[in-house]
Amino acid sequence: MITVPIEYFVAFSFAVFAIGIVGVVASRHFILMLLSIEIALAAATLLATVFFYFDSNGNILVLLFMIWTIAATEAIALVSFYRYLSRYETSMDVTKLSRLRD
Amino acid sequence: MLGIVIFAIFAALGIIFSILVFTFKDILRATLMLSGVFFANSLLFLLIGQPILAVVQLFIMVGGVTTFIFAGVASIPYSKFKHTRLRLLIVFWIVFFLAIVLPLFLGNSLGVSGSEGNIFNGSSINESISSGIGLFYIMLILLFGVSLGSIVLMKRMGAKK
Repeated sequence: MITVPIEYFVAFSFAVFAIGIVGVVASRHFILMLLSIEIALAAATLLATVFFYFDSNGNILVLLFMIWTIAATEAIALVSFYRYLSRYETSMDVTKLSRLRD
Repeated sequence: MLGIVIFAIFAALGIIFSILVFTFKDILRATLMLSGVFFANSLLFLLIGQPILAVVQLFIMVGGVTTFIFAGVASIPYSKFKHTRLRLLIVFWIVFFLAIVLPLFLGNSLGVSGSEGNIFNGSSINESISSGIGLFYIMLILLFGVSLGSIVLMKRMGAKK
């Protein structure tokens, strides 16, 4: 059994979570903003599992399936919104999305 | 030692893939890199000793979500523009990462935790979580508010151009 200290997993999860959150801030692309939220959700999944593994009080599967459901729902919303926007040849730049009403 | 080396390889894969998501202009390659992030994540699940969760992660995230995004995006021509300032992303990432890690790992140095804990064997994490959780959450809420405010400001500044 390979043993790795919990700190490494926590630091990695925080690093990937930070990339996901900062990706929402630094990107102007609508799809990339949602993809970065997916990255943050993946990091949260790993962090929850790590804490469950080192201190197994409770059932982690409920939380994990909630996160996975949110990620899947977000993907469905992403694709449907993308197809809706591309039908009207709108740019994916979120700074131009306010001109949709025109 | 072997476990740490394997973990370092998987973690480097995950971080590199997650940064590569923002480097490509087209969404197809970005989605491929996202599947790489999920794949590295499932490898880490395997390293923890949770093979079923690793398989579920592969099935749901890589097999379901990423393929769905890939198919949905690939069927439509996409627009290319410079969407991400990579330097801004890296700087924000380092600052945000340090801001959320320091209260947890250096709880003793900041006076958050009362007892002597070692940051390398996990005891200070337990102490920081139990005693300094209020400060930790306040910092996270503040960071979240600052992030939201910066998003609004940046979008408005970009819209004026």
